[in-house]
Amino acid sequence: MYGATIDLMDDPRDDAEKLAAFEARIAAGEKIEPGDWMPEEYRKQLIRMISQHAHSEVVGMLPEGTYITKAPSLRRKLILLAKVQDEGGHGQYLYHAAETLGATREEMLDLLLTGKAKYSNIFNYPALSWADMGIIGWLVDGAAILNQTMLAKASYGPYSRAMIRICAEENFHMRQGQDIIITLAIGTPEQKAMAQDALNRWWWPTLMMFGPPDTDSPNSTVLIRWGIKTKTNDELRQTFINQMVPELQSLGLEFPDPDLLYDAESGNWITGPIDWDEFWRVIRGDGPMNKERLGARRAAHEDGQWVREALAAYAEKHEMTSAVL
Amino acid sequence: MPDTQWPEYVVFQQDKPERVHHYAGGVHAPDAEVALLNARDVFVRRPECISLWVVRRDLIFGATSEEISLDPNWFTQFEVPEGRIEKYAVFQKHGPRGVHEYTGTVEGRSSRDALRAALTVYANQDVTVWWVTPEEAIRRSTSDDIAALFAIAETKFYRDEGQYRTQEALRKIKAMRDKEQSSHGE
Ligand SMILES: [Fe+2]
Ligand SMILES: [Fe+2]
Repeated sequence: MYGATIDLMDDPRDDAEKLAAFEARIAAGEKIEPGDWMPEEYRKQLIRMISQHAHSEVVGMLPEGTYITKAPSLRRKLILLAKVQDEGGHGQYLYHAAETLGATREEMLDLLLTGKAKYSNIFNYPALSWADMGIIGWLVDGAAILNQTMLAKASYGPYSRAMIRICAEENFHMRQGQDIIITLAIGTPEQKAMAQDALNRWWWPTLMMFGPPDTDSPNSTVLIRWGIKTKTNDELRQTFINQMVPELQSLGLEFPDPDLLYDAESGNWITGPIDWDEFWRVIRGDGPMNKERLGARRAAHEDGQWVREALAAYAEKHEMTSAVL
Repeated sequence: MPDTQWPEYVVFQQDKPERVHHYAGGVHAPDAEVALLNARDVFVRRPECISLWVVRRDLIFGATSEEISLDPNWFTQFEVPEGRIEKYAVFQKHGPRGVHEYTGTVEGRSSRDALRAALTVYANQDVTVWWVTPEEAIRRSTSDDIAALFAIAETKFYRDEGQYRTQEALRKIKAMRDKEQSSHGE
C-alpha cells in the first residue's frame, strides 16, 4: 500500500544495476523509503537492528519500572513514570519502523518472548538502589543518545525519523538522571556513597553497550557501507568515555578503573581492558537478570491476554451491531 | 503461540491549528476507537498535538509519482466502477525526505478513480507519493477530546529537558571543588 510493490522475483540481471543506483542514492544522502528497491541484505540487517532496538526499549522499562513505587518524592515518581512511558513509546515507534520493511509485530514479539531475539545487554544487570535510577539515566540513556544521534542520520527514512523523535525525548532522560546523581553526590556521605556504588556497578556494563570492539564486530562494515551506521563501535565508545569521565569526576566520584588515564596527545581518556568474556557470557543468556527480564516480559504479555481478548470481542460485537443498524 | 495481529492504523497528527495533519506512524488496534487511544499514548506524550486521525492501513490506496509516470496508461486504462460517488481525503508526500501531509478532498467512485482526480486537482511537481482514503474511513478526535487527550500533556513540564539545569550545576560544583582544593594546597 506504499504504492510501489516490491517484486522479489525480479530478474537477477537487473540487480547489479539497481544496487548501483541504490548505493548512489545513499552516497548522495537520499533516504531510502519503504516502497523503494533495496538489497535483501539491507532489509535483513535493518529488521534485525530495528527490532533489537525496539526490544531494548521495551525490556529497558523493567529495571526502572520497579522503582516507580519506591521513588523518594512525588516529583521523582512523576518523572520516572514519564520516562518509563517514553521508553514504551520508543519501542512502539521502532516496531512500526521495522514493520515498514515487512516484519510483523507478532513475529517480532514472539521472538522476544521465546528468548530468540536479542536486546541490549545492559538490561540484564540489576537495579539495586535509587541511585541506579540516576546512573541509568545519565550513563545508559547518555550512551543511547550517542548511538541514536548517529542513527538519526541513517539511510532508511522511517528509522531515521523514529530516531529524531526519540532523541528529543532521550535528552530529558539523561538530564533527570544527572539531576538525581548531582543531588546524591552533594548530599550526605551516605547519599554520595550510593551514587559511587551505582557508578561502580554500571560503568563497565555501559562501556559494553556500544558492542564488541571493531576488530570483532561482524556486521559493522556492511552497516557503514549502506549508511545505516556512520561510526564504529569503538569510535562511539571513545566519545562516550571522553564525555562522561570529566563530568562525573567533577562531582568527586571515582571510576572503578585503576588504569583510567588521560592521554594528552590524543585528547582521549583511556580505560583499562574491558572484560569481553563477561559481555559474551551475558549475551548468551548467563547474565544476572536474563531470566528475570524475560520472565517479567512474558508475565506482562500473558497478564494482558484477557484485555486483548476483551477488546477484540468488543470490536467484533460493535462491528456486527453497526452492520445491522 | 503468537497472538493474532490486530489491523494496523495509520496515524496523522496536527501540531497547531494553522498546520495540516501529517503522518506520524502506525499503531495496532482492534478498532478505530482503541487505535485513537493508542495513537495518543504513543505519539502525544508531549504538548505538540491538537488533533489525531487514524485510518486502517488497508483502506489507504497509494501510488508513487514514479509508478504513475512510468505507466502511460495509468490515467486512462481502468474501468470506473458503477459504485456511488464518495469523498476521499488526499495526502501528498513531498520530496525525498518529507512525510505525508493532508492536502484536501476529491470525489470518486473508487480509490483509483479518486487518485486520478487528485492528480489533476492537486497537481504538484515535487510530490513523490500519493495516498487517498475514503473520508468515511477516517476516525478523528473531536474538540471534546482536546482536554482529555492532549491538554494534559501541557502541564508536564518535567518532561522538558530544559527544566534540568544540570550542566550549569556541574560547572558550579567543579568551580567550587577546584577552589577548595587550591585553598587546601596553600
Ligand atoms: Fe528510549
Ligand atoms: Fe531513554
